Amino acid sequence: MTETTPYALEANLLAKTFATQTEPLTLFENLSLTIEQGESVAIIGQSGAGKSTLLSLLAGLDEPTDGSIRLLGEDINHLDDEARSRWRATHLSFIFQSFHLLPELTAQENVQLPLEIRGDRDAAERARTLLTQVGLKERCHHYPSQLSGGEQQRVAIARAFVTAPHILFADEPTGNLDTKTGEKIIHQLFDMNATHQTTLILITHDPALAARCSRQYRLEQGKLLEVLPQQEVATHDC
Amino acid sequence: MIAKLARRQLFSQLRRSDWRALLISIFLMTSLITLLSLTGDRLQKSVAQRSADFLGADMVLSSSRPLADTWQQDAQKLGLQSAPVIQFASMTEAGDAMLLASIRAVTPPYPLRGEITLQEAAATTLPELGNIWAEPNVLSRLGIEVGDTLQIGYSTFTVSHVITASPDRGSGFRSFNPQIIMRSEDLAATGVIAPGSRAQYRLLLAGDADALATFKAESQTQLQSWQRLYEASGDQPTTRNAIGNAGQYLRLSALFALLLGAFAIYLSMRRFAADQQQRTALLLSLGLPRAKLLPLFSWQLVLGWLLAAIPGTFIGLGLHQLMMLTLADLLPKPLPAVDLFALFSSAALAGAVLMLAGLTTLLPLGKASILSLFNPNSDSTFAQNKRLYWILPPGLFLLMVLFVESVVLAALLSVTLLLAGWLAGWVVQRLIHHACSLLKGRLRLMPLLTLRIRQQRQWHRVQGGVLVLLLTLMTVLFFARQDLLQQWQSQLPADTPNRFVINIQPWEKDGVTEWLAEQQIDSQLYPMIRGRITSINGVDKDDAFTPTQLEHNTLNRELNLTFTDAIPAHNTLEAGAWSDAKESISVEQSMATDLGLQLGDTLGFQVGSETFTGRITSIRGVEWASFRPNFYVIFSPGVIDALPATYITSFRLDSSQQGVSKTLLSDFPTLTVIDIEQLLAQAQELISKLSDSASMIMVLTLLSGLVLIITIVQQDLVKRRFEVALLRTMGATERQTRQLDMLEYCMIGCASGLVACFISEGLLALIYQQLLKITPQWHPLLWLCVPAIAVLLLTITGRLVRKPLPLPTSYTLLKSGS
Repeated sequence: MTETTPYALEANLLAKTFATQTEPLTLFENLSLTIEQGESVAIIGQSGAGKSTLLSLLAGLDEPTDGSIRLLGEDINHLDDEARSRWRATHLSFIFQSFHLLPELTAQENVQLPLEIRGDRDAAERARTLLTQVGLKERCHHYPSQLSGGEQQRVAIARAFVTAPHILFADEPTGNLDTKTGEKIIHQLFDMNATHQTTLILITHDPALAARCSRQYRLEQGKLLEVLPQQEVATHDC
Repeated sequence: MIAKLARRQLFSQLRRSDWRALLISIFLMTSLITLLSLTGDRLQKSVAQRSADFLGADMVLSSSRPLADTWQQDAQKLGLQSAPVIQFASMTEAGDAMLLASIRAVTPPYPLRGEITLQEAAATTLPELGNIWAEPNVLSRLGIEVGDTLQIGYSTFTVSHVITASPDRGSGFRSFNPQIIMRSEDLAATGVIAPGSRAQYRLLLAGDADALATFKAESQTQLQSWQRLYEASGDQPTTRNAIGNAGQYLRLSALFALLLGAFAIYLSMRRFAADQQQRTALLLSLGLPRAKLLPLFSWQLVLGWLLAAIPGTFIGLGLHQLMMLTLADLLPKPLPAVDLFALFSSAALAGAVLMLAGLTTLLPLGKASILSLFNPNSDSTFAQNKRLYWILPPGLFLLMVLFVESVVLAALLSVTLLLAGWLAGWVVQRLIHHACSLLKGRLRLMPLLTLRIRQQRQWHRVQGGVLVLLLTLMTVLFFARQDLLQQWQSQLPADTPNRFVINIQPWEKDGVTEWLAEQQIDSQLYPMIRGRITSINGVDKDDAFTPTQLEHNTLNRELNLTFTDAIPAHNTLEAGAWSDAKESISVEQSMATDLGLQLGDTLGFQVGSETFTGRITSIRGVEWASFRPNFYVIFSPGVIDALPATYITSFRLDSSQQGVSKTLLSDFPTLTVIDIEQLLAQAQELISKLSDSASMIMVLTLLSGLVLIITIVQQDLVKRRFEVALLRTMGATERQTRQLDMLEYCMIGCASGLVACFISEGLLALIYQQLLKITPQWHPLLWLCVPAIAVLLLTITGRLVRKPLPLPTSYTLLKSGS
C-alpha cells in the first residue's frame, strides 16, 4: 500500500450502545478493523452477536456511539445526510439475504435503479451489460416473480456491481438459497468481485463461505477476533 | 376468554392506522347515511302518508279560471264535503313596507283535512271577517306585529294570528311565497280579483272513497284544459314531485356514501387482515381451535361497530335536525316524527357492511399455516383464499338493493359510479404516464418517478377514480350555485326593468298609462288574453303534432295572447315581416322551431267559446330573461281586440324612485306590482338554503372520500417503506425519496384535477342548458383551483401518512426481510 492509497475501511475503537428501559446495553466497544482496497473480508458470528449492526456502522448506515470510521479515507459520519447519500451511491453497494428486488420492475429496471438514483444517463445499457455478465441476458425483461431464487440473487448481484462500487457489503447472500444454488451464487459473486476489483465485506454464519475470503473475523461477545486459516480448519475438524 | 381477547386486541388495534381509518369510515358512513336517510324518509313520508293533510282535502279540483257553482253542487249531491279556495299573489302594504304575498281566500269548513296551527290558539277555525292570519315572515318583512294592520287592494285587515303550519299551501313557486289566509267574504272588497286576474281557483273535497270515485268518474268528461283534478293518493302536484325528488336524491346520495364507506372499510380490513396472518398462526400454534376464530373476529368487529356506528348515528341525527332547521321555511309543516327504525337502520347497514367486508377478509385467516411462523415467506394464505372476496360485491349489492328498495336503481347507480370511476381512473393513469414520458430527461428524479408510476399504476387508477368523482361532485355543486346566483344579476343590462305590473283592468288602462307618463316612466302596456291553440292549417292539434310536440309549453296549457301594431322593440325579427293585415300573427322562434311552424301556416285559437285563426307572417326572437312582457303569439290589431283582457307592463325604477310603487298602489290598489329584485333575492335565499344543506352533505361525503383516499394511500405503505429503505441504502437521500413521493402525489392530484375539471365543465354546461336555462360558460377559476386543491389534498394526505425513514431503520427493515 502506498501513501496515496487510503484503506478501503478503517474503523477505530468503535462502540455501539443501545438505550433500554432498565440500563444501556453495550453491543460492542473498542472495536477496530482495517481493510485494504480489493480485499475480501468475512465477518462471522452467532445470531444476535451484532454482525448486522456492525455492517450498518461500517457502511455508514448508522452512527457509532463512540469511535470513528473512515471509508476510502473519508470520515463519512461527519457528512450530512445528502452528502453521505451521494457518497454511498458512488462508492458502496449492498447484497441482501432476501434479494430485495422490486416486484413491479423487470430485472433490467431493478438493475438500473441505483444508476437512476445517481442520475446516470446510460443506465439501461449498463444494466444490460451487467445482466449479461451474470448470465441473465435473456431474462432482462422478466419480472422477479418469473425468476428462480438463484436468478433473483444474480439480478441483485448485477444491481450491486452496476455502479462499479469500491466496497460491496453482502449480508448473508446465500441465506435464502439451497446449497447448490448458493454455491453457484458465491462463485459468481467472487468472480464478479475479482473482475471489478471491489472490496468485499461479507457477513455470514457459514464458515465455508467465509473461508473463501482473504481474511475472516469472528464477532463474539463484543469483540472482533481475526480467525487465522489453521483456526478455521480446526473449527471445521471439530 | 374469546370476548376478553377480542376486547384486548381491539384496544391495541386502536393504535393502528388501518383500524382507525376503519372506525372513521364507519363513523362517517353512519353519520352521513343517518342524515340522508332521516331527511329523505321524513320528506317522503310527509308526502306519502300525509298528502291529504298537505292538500287539506282528499281530492282537489284546481282551475286557472273561476269554477262554476255546479261543481260544488255535484259534490254535495254525492255527500262530499267541499270548500272553495282562491289563491293569488298580491302586494300587501304596511306603512312604507310592501311585500308580494300568496293569499288564500277561504270559506268554512276550510281545511277539510289537516289543520291550521297558530302560534296562539284562536277561538275560530278561520280568521274572522276583517282579519287575516299570516305566516311569521309576512310580519317580519313588513315590520309589523299581531294586532297591526296591513293593506290588500282597497281593504285594510288586522293581523289577528300568526300561522305556524297550514295545509293546502299550493304548489310550485307560489307555495314558497309568504302566505296569508283571509275569508273569501272579504275578497270582493279588496278589488284585487277581476276577470282575467291571475289566480288559482280550487275546490277542496273530502268524503268517502266511493263518493270521491264517483265524482272523479263523472268529472272526467267535464274537465277543461285549464282544470285539473288530483287526489291525495294519486296524481302529483308540483310540490309533491319536488319533495319526492328531493327524497330520492337524498337516497341516491346515501347510496354514494354507502359505496365510499364500504370501499374504505373493505380496504382497511384487507390491510388489517394481511397483517394478522402471523398473529393468527401464533394463536393457532398455541392451541386455539380454528372454529374459535370466527367468534374472535366477530367480537372485534362488533366492538368496533359499537365504538363508531353509535356515535355516528347520533351525530347524523344532530345534523339532520340542523338541516331541518335551515330548511324550515321551505318544508311542509308539521313534518312526521323521526322514525326510530330509519334512525337506527343506518347503523345496522354499517354493521352489515362491516361484517360482510370484515368476515370475507378475515375468515381466510382460518387457513393460516402454523408453518408460516417458521418460514415467513410462506405467505400464500391470501392467494389461496381470494375466492371468498367474491362474496363481497354481490353481498354489498344486496344491501344496496335493500337500502334503496329497488334493484334497478341500485344497479344503475353502482354501475354508473363504478364505470365512471374506472374510466376516470384509467384516464388519470394514462395522463400521468404521458406526463412522465414528456418530462423524461428534464427532471433528475424522472427515471425513478417513471419506475414508481409503473409500479403503482393499479393504485393510481383507484386513487384517480375516487378523487375525480369526489372533485367533480364538489365542483359541480359549487359552481352551479355560484353561477346561478351571479348570472341572474350580471346578465341583466343596467336598464332592465325591475318592476312588473299585472292585473291592470281595462278600465284602469288609460289611468295607469297617464300615471306612468306623469312619472316619466318609460313603459308600454300589453293586453293579455288567455287562449289555447286548437289546430294548424285546419287540422286538429292532437292529429297534427307528435306526442312530444303536444307536451310543448304552448300546446299543453293556455297561452297569453296579445295584440300590437308592431313587433315589440325588445324582440327581433328573425323571418318574414310584420303585417297589419287582419288575422296576421307573429310567433316566437323556439316555438316555431319546436312545433315545425312555417311562415304562411294558419293556427286555430280558442278563447272561451270564441274560435278564430291567425296566419304566421313573421317569426320573432325573444329574450325571455329580459324582464319585459314577452309573448309566444302576437296578433295584428282587429282579431282579439274585443276579447276580455287584462294588461301587463314592466318598467325600471332606480333607487331614488322607491316610493313610486307605493304611490302607484295607492292610486290603483288592485294592481299587483312585482318587485323583481325582491323576487330574485327570495330565489337566491331559497337556492342558498338548499345549497347550504347540500353543502353539509357534500362536506361529509368529501370527508368520507378523504378517508378512502387515505386508506388507499395506506394500502401500499409497507411496500413503499420497503422501497424507500432500498433506495436509501442505494444512496438516495431522504429529501430525494420525499420529493419522489410528493412528485407522485402532485402528478396524481394534477391529473385527477384536470380530469375532474373536464367532466365538471361538461356536466355544468349540460345542467345550464337543460335545467337552469342559463348560458354555459368556461370557468378559468375551476381549471386553476381544482387541480391545485387536488394536489394539496393528496400531498397533505401523503405527508400525514408518510413517516420519515431514518437510515438505520432502513437497513433493519431490509434485514428483517418482511
